[in-house]
This record gives sequence, structure tokens and C-alpha cells, in this order.
Amino acid sequence: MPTDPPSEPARVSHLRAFFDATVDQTPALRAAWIAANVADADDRIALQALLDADDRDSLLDRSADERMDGIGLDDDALAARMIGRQIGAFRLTRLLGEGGMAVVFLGEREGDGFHQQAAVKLLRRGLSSPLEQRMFRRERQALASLSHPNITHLIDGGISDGDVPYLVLEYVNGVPITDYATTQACDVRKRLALFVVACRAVAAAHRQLIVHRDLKPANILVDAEGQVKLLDFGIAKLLADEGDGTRTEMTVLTPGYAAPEQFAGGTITTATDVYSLGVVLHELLLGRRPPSTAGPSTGTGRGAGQAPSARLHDVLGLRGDLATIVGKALEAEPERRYGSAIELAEDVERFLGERPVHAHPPSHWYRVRSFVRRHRGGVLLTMVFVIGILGSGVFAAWQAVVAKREAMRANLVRDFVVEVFESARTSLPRDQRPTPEALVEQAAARLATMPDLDAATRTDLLRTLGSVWLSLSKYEAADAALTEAIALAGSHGDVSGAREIERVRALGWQRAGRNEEASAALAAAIPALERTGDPQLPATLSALAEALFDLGRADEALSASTRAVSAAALSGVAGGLDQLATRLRHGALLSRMERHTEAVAALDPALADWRASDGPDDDRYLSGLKALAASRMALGTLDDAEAMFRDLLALHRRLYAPPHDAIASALRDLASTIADEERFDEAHALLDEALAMQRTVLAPDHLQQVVTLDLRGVLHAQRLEFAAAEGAYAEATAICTRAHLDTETCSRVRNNRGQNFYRQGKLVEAEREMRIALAERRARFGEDHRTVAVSLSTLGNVLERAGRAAESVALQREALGIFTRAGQGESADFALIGNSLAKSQLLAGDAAGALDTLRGALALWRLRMPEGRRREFSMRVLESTILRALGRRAEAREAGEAALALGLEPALVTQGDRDALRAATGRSDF
Amino acid sequence: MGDPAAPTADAEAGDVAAAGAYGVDELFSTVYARLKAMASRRSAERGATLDTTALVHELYLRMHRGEEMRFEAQAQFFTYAARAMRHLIINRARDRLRLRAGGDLARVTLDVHDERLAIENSGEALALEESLQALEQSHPRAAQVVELRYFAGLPVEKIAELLDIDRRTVNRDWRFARAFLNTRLD
Repeated sequence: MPTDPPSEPARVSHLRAFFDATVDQTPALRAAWIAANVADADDRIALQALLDADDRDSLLDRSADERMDGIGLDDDALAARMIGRQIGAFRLTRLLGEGGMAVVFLGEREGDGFHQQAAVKLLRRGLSSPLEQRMFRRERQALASLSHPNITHLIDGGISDGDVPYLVLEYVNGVPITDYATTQACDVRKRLALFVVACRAVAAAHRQLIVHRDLKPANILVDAEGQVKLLDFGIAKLLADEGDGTRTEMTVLTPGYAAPEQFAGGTITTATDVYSLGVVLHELLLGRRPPSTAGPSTGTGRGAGQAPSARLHDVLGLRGDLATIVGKALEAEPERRYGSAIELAEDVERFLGERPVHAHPPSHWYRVRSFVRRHRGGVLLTMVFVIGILGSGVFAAWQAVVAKREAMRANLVRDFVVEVFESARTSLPRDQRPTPEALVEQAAARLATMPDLDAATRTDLLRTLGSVWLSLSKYEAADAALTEAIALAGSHGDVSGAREIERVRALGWQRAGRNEEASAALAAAIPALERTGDPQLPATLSALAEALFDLGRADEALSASTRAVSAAALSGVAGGLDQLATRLRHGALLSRMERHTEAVAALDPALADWRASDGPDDDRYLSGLKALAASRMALGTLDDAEAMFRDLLALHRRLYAPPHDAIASALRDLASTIADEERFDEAHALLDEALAMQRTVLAPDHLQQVVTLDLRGVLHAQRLEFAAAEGAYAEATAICTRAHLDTETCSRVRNNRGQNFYRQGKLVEAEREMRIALAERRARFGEDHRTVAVSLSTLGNVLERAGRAAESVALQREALGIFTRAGQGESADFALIGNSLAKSQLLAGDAAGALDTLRGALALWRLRMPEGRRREFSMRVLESTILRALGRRAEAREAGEAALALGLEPALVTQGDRDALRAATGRSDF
Repeated sequence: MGDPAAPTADAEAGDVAAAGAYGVDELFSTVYARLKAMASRRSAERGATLDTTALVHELYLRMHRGEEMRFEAQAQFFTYAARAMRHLIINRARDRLRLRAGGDLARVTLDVHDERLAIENSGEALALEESLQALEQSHPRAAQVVELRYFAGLPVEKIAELLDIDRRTVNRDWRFARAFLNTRLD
């Protein structure tokens, strides 16, 4: 509640006294009384305003009933006015129902060959403040992440025209679980089996610390296929939060199913849902709700001295164990209930399996349970992170809190964990978060000291740790934790849980470069995700696409990535960050596939949308930005590459804790940019740092190391350190062969290696390597591809050196043609190929044509790479040589002097250039 | 039921008479019937859960099944009923104003005069709600009196009993609240 400044309530309270004293007096007496008793001028003004107001007509003079009539809006009018309107992607077709906080319509949309129905909830409250809107978005995000086959998922949500917040949810055509049990004449076992499914779904939500708050048969539907579907998870909270904290105490609850603490305005926890599930179970078994379940009059109802199970035994004749289970779920005190829905589910399953249930008659139970057993599930998960974050010093204080048995607030807890995860998944600058490494290490250590945990809880914790480790690129630790979690989940029969963890592990494999295993596991996970419309589908497809691409299966990769984008468009929150993230990944893949024009077309709008929706500067955004920069560079449309890559590196360093493969990539990108400007020492230092990081965090034969080694080779070669370059290339090629990496990166390495042989004068080896690369690239990309052009051009250089001039000119022209058709006729690479063509033309005896070609190339090079002196030097030397061949000696000398004026370090000048210069200028002082 | 919106000097006498005329049961029935009338603008067959309204039904039915009628339960019944009616009105008003904000006036079936009145009524209902929230913060008891009297339509006598204050205080609270709300609405 907003608090007024302290003086304000004091003023109103004595104003009330003044008002009471004066309101019935005649005007004259009133004036005298005020003069004598009210000293403060402000008080007098306020009092006078109140007294004046007393005489006026009031809104209260028109009765509530008249007011209602005057508003004159009934259901039919409301429906009539809303039907046909467009909310998000959906057109409202029918009023489904109405609650105090929202009106629900059936929404429909048509697409290419599909027809989708959804429940569209229009919230009644507005979201006036940015804070409220942020909370709404955050909550929506939490709900969107809730993925379970038995929970209706959030399709969309947002704020429509006219500032109406809305949610679009999966529409379920089903009947309440209790009606289903009655009409299908289910026996007790069948009823219990249905109930267990519902409990497990609730438990899955609890693991993400989302409490339903309004569980009842109307929210637990069974559809025609007998599938249980829970509606409206977490909606109650979304609806109830007013942002300013006012009047939330009685907004959403259903009498008969609400737990006592909901009536009392107490803390809502996962145990609140357990109570409601208890009522549902009672109703399923006995056809009616428990008599006098807690209501608003907490004093009435069951006697304080008698436990519910005892009464169930006595009055209702439920079989002993079942009565105990129902009774325990229905305990008035939250801490006496099952701590989580999973415990309730497991006890019902034990009953079904004729095993002894865990619930004991209350008196025993309450004494013997250790506190851990009473705080299982999500709360325990949080505890581990509390310890991780705050360290052992705070642990004692925390234990004291537990000792006092203060119920933990599930929602606060959830927000808290969400924050922990957010910081761990690096959406905050590093200097603003606790180090997740320390946090996870401590959490893992703590987990190891808790041998008493049940399998389900341990599974959860291991899975969580694994996920966090993944986000920290600790792939081995993640793999170990997740593998253990899968085994545990399997051992307690949680098949779907195990499958989900397998999927997460496969995502980790993909990132660690274990592409064979990753692609197999991810492809296996996809059909089930598709069947349930799982929100994880797009991310899984994207990861599969990346794995396939790294395996050299480009066509399949592109198809998977395209499917990811359409799946995201269908299932995610429209315009939500998850959907944008999928588009960014698609763009990044296009960029890696060297489909730069498409990449830019995909990335530019996705990045703009990301910024427009206040998306964080996180890893997803950065990867997109990086890919865009790379594609722009390749297209020759990036003006200030170094500044951009420096910014990117700085952002990466802020977001990730080194060593991290993402920092390594950023280092390498910057090194590459700097190398273009021939600042080799800097570039080498960056590359060494990158390679060291990659060797620490990545699998031994990871493609990323090939990329870095390739660049190291390029740098050495540019410095004429050919032997060192061959070392780097040989190492990279060896990795490619060993790991069967059939990717463009490996072809590039091979071509670069050939280039290096060429520079050493080893023309046979050079031609061999380059022809292999050329064949690989043609097979991979077709004839008309930029990389094919590069291969053609470099091979042309080799042939030129070998004196095969005509072949060489043809190859260079072919290369330039490809570049021109690909819209890369203005790029720096185009200039380099031009330089090569000029050389070949000269060799073929066409010196005039060579001069034209070279001057065009030189102008383009200086435009694109004004700092690229080494290349400019070679070009000017070539210009001078051509001019000499044309007999234009004065101009040749000028060109030679212009080359020398560049002041290139002598170490960077090749012997051939040296000779040419000496001939042109007659000088030898360089 | 007496007009709950007539805070005149002789309200006290009228309320005494009213309290005499209504038995407790009749008072319940009256309040319940009014609530149902307000809520029935939503079709029951759609299975809508009306949150607080449903709660009041539940309470009412329980009371009429002959279960022990305790004082707290009575107080809760009226409190919840008043709150439910307040919510109903405010929700309706919001819906109405939102329809206008949506701008889709071509669909308006009411004539312009009714439309204007409806918008005016809705605006006033929201203004009242806002000032009532302000009153709740500085004078919670006076706000409670307004709820019970204005929304639930209870006689002063009954309010005094429920809040355990004397009738005179109820009248004072009402009058102050009315003036307070007026100053906020200027």
C-alpha cells in the first residue's frame, strides 16, 4: 500500500475531529469555533472544503443499483461488442465465460492450412504503470516457460489496442475431471490414476515455483481422448496482482476449494495447491466436497481437536490409507499437509501399488517428519540456491528461520530463483551479479551432503545444476549431472522427466561440439515435442540445425532451422523474446552458411524487434549482432568493423566469466578484424587468449578450435611466417580429419593451407590442397557461391605462378563473375581477386588490361581497407611492374615510390616485391 | 429496503424502523437477491466463476442449510456481499469504458443519449472507486461504513451491530465519508 507522508494521516485524523465538532453547527457558531480551535491555516482550508462538500450532492446519492443500471452493460451487449474483434493473432468468436478479473472468449485464427482455436482472456485491470507492465511481461514469460503435456500452455499475451492486457491460452474442449469420472463411470483405480496425472502436472509447475492458487474440477479438464489438462496455471496470481498491492486479499479464490490460508489472507505456497487437490480427490472419491471445508469463517468447520482423516474414517468409510491421504492433504495447517503435489501423487501411487503410504496418522507424522521432508520440491531447490548465494554465514540465520517454521512464500521464492537463473544465464552485466560459478559449486557440494533426498527432488536439483553449468559452458560437469539425473528419473519411473533431461543434455552436447550424439538425440526428441506443441520445440530445432550444419549436412540444417522459425511463430508468445531468439539463431546460421544477404535480411529486423521489446543484451542478442556484423563484413557493407567487434568483445567480457567459448569467439572476431589492418601482434595476443580458453572449455577436437587455428595460420602467413602458418594449418586439418568435420571451415583451412604452400613456392602441394577445397565447396554450395569464387581465385594464383596464364585468367574472371552476381562487387575480397586477375593478365601478355584491372582493384581496396597497407603495397608494386612492362618508366617509378611511401616494415615485404621495386625505382635502401 | 443513499438527519429514525421491519433472515435474503440481480447480468449457464460473488452464494447457502449462524459469519456475509457488489460495478464500468476506448462505435446499439449516460455513469463509478480507496487508507472504518451502506444497502442499525459501534458513530462516519469523497471528486 502506498504510504502517505507522515503528516498526512495526522492531518486527516484531526480534521475528522474538527469536522465532527462543526458539521451540525450553524454557520455563525461554526466560524467562531473554527477561529477559536483551528490554528493551522491549512487545516482551516481543508476543514472548510469538507464542510462545503457536506452540502453538495454526492455520487453516493445515486444508489448502487441505479448506478449498475446506468452503466447498462449486460453480458449479451458485452459479447455482441467484442465478438469479431482481433486480439493478437486471434479473432474473438464466442464468449466462453467471465470472472471477476477477466472475460474469456473463444478465439480463432486461420493460417496456411491450419485452423487454431484458443481461449482469449481479456484482463479487466489495466496496466497503467511501466512497473505493472513489466511485472505482467515477466509473469507472462514465466508462464510461457511452463511446458507440460498436461498443462494448457500460454500461446500469446500482450497488451492490445485500447490498453487491454490479454492472455491467449490453449483451448481445451473437455469436461471437469469429476464430471468425467461420473459420466464414464470410472472405478476408484481409474479415478485415482486421473488424479495422479493432475498431481504430477501440478508438481511440474511447482518445480518451476508456479503455484496455481485456484485448482478445482472446472480447472482440471479431461478431453475426449481421456487426456487430463490443467487450465489457468498461475493465472490467479497474474490476475490478482494489482501492482500497488491493494485489495488482493479476496480477489481470486473459489469457496469450497480454497485453502484456509487463502481465506485468512495468509501466505500462498505450494501447500495451498495441495489442499485444493485434496478437495478434488475427496470429491472424486465420494462425489462431494468435504463437509464444511474451510470457508471464510475459519472458526466454523472441522473441530480443532479432530483431525480430518479421523473424521473421514469414521463418517465416510473411506479405506484407511485413502482416508489418511485425503486427510493429510486437507490439513488446515499448511505445514502439516504434503509439502508438494508430488508427495501426494506418490502416496496415491503407493496406495494403487498396495505399498504402505507415507502419510501417517497426523499425531505421529507431525512429530517424526524431518524438516526436509516437509519442504521438498521447489522450496528445497531454492534453499540450495539461497545457500549458494549467501554463503554459509547466512545459513545459520536461515536455519533459524526454518526452525521458526515460517512458511516460505512460494511466489517470492520463485521470483528469487528466476533471478538466480537469469543472472546465471548471463542476462546481467557480470559486475552486477553473484558469480554463478561459485553458486553452482556450492549448490553441488551441498547436494552431495544431503543423502536423504528422495529421487524426484535429487533429479530436479541435478537437472537444475546441469542447466546452470551448461549456461556457464562447463560442459563436462553439465553432462555428468544430467546423465545422473536421467538415470535417477528413469529409476523412479519418471519417463517423461527423463526424456526432457535427455533433451537438455543433447542441447549441451551440441554446444560442446559433440554433434553426432547431439543431432541424434535432438532429432529423437522432436516428434514428442511436436505432438504436444511444446514451447521448447523451436529451441530444440535450432540446436539440431546447428549440429547438422557443423556436421556438414547443410540442407538438413537449413530445413530444421526454417522449421524452428515457423514453430516459434506458431507456438511462442507473439513477438516474445523466445520467438525473436529463434529468428536470431536462424539468421546466425544463414550467416555461417555464407548466405549473407539472407542473413542480413533475417537479422536486421529481428535485432530491431529485440531492442524494441527491451530485450536484454544477453547471449542470444549478442550472437545475432555478431552474425550480422560478420555478414555485413562479408558483403562489404560494414564501415567500422573494429569498433563494432571491440564493443561486442566488451559486452561478452561483461556477460561471461572467462574462460568461456563465447568470449573466445569474440576475441577471435576482433583478432580477425584487427588482422585485416595488419596489427599482427595485437591480433596474435587475442588469438592466443581465445585458443587457450577453447582448449579449457571445449571438447578436444571442437570445430571452434579449427576456426581459431585457421585464423592463426592466416596471421602468420600475412607476416610471411610460412612455417608457423603451416603448423597451424596442419593442426587444424588434422582436427578436421580426426573428427570427420565436413564443414566449410575445414575447406577454408585447406584452401588457406594451399595458399601458404603457394607462398612458399610449393606449387604442387598448393594446387592439390586447393583443388580438394574447391571440390568440397562446389559440392556443398553449388557453382555460384562466394567460397567457390575464393577457391577459384586462389587456385588461379597458383596457376599464374606456375606460368599457366590463360587458365589463371579464366579462373579469376569466373571468380569475379560470381562475386558480382552475389552482390559483392564492392567488397575488399573483390579487390583482391582483381589484383590476382591483373597479375594473370600481365603474365598472359595483356599489360594494358592488367593496368585497368589493377587500378580498379586498388581504388576499391583503399576505399574498403584504408589501413590495409600491406596489400596496398603489393598492389602498388604490381602497378609499377605493369607500367614498366608498358614501357611507362616514369610512372612506374612513381608507383614504386608511392609503395615505399606507405612505410611498410621491411619484414613484411616479399622477395618478389623487393626485386620489382628495385627494378622500378633503382633504389635498394629498403 | 430503505434508500441507502439518503444521509439525512432523520436517517437514524428510519433505520431503526427498518431494522425492526427486517428480520435477520429477511435482510440476508434482500441483500442476496440484490447481489444476484447484479450478478445475473452474466448468464449462469456459462459456468462463470464469480469469485467473490460465488463466495457470497456459498455463504448464503450454508447459512440457509441451517448451519450454525454465527456472528462472524453474518459479518462476513455482508462484508463479502458488499465487496462483491463493489467489484461487479467497477468491473462493469471498466468494461463499458474499454468498449468506448476500443473505438468501435459503429456497433453501438444503444442510442446516443443512453450511450452518453452509460459512459457518464461508468466514469462516475470509477471516480467513486478511486476516492473510496483513498478513504480506505485514511479512514478505514468510514470506508467500511460506505461499503456496507452504499453497496450492501444495510440499515444503520445493522452496520452498528456488525462493526460494534453505536448508530450515531455510523451516521457520523457516513457523513464524513460523503464529504470526504466529495472533496476528492472535485
